Amino acid sequence: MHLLVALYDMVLTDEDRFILSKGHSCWTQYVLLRERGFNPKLEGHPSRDPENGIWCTTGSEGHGLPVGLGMALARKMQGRDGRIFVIMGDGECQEGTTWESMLTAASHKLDNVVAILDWNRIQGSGFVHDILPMPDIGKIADTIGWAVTTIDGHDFEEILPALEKATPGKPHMIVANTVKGKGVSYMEDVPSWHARFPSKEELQQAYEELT
Amino acid sequence: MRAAFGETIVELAERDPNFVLLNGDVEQAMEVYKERFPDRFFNLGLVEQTMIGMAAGMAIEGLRPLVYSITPFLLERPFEQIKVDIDQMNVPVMLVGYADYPSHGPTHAPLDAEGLTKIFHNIVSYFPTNRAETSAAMIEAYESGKPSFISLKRDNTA
Repeated sequence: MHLLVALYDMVLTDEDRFILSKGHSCWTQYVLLRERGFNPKLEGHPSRDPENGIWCTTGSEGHGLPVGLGMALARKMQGRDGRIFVIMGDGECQEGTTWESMLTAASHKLDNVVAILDWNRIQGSGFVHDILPMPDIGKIADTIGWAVTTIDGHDFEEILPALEKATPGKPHMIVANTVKGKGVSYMEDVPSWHARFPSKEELQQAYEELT
Repeated sequence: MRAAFGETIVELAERDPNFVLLNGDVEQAMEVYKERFPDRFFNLGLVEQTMIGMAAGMAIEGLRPLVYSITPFLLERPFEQIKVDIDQMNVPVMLVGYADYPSHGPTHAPLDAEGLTKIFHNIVSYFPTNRAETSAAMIEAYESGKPSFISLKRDNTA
């Protein structure tokens, strides 16, 4: 949530492009797009619709970063400005394309790519460490040739400088430590809220806690 | 047919500065192209799924990518990337696959490229049978601006 708000409210320029690779988080993106006058189709995962601010179809994990790399490489070839921001989930990082893309982005020195990892430690069916534990991906990315920044993904004072950071010749990975369901007491860090709709009462409680 | 492919990629690159060639470490019939257009030639290595996604991203930004590989590695391994990134997003990526390895074992033979490509919504597929048809199919696929698949085999008629 904080990462998306920071991007849309304070970072993205007309030349930049944003891909929500963890497409299941699209509802927050839809709200931000509608606030800006766009009218994306309200489906459980986003479909490409450039006129409404959706640059890439996502939902199946591991698609956004490769597409983002292609966009970034094209811009290098065309001598065009603008950065490609991709938000990914930690479960998504289990996909082979994440690792392929990490090698490829570094090899082609795609310093116009910013991969933001929403590191909330929860995936579809439970905690990441119970399903397929992930290594210190930032450390591995650094070894491969990425610039890596680790932040508190709910603190704008850490998010904004990280999003503005650029290292010539290196793609940038931001490992954002987050809490799933942040701000709603009964949702925080509870895996079942990965894909669950609140009841009317729960919704009211969430609204009161957030406002 | 690969010779015709090699000639036609040079022709397309001459015509269109946005034409770009990607391959997954299968550099077949592209020596002339590679020498003449090194800035629009990418051997991305063995990252077939990422290669398809990248081609889609390049097309989104206005380039005209052609992805070449051996057909099972082009169609079957990254099938979902083709479904989502190219067919669903309907971006003008040309996929060109070679499959005619009667003695290379099951890994190098596609199950049924014709059947597999028939089920896409937007990708137009071509199955030329000789050199002339290969060039014609590639030119037509490029000019159509639609996503496409072109199958290459050994040409015994040339």
